[in-house]
Amino acid sequence: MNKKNQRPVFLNLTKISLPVTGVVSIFHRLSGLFLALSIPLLIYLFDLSLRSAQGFSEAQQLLQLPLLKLLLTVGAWALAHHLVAGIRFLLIDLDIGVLKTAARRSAWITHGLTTLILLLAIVVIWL
Amino acid sequence: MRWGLGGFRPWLFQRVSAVYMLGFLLFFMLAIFACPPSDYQAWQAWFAHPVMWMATAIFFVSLFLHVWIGLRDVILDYLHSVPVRLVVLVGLGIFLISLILWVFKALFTVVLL
Repeated sequence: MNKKNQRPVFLNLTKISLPVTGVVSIFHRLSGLFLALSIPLLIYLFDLSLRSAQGFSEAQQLLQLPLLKLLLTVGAWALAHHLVAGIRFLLIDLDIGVLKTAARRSAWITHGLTTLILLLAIVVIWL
Repeated sequence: MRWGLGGFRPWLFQRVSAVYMLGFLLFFMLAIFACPPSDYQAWQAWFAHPVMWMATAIFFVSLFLHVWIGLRDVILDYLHSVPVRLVVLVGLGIFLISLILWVFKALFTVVLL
């Protein structure tokens, strides 16, 4: 690909200072990937819980396992981030918050809201 | 190289499905907290209701197409070799088609039980 394009590439990850809007963007991808990879587990639990009364209680017991609670916590962060950042991207598509200052502010709000939802989820899942 | 994969339609679908799933998830989470299904009968009755059954089916179809468009864009951004792209995209397709068959098996069990 792109044989003519010989621009230097600077990809030293420790030296790139990604702006906060870029962090939202890459987290949107990472959270999306995590959510996609967790679909089999979600469907497994959905199928099991709807199969029979016994399957329902088995699914309930599985959800009490520490490993599943941990996955659920990461999933809560991923879902919260994906939804909040997704709403932000939809607003940008509607020409709301496109300029640099507004985009940076909404990026910080995204991280703030996501952290808040994560804390709530931790309380609900672990306490 | 153009694969005929880009364009306005997947872009629009990604947004329409996002809005639908957002609405469904907010409704679902509110329902879970407002009246948590206490036992199997209550849980089963939720999804056996025709409106909820349909809304759930549409949710999963939206989800799989959303994942397909989203991961496809990510794959095309980071993997540049054509054979690698082909293998990974076919793998993703098989993964998503198996999952959709699985979820519809679960959904049909609810109504046929």
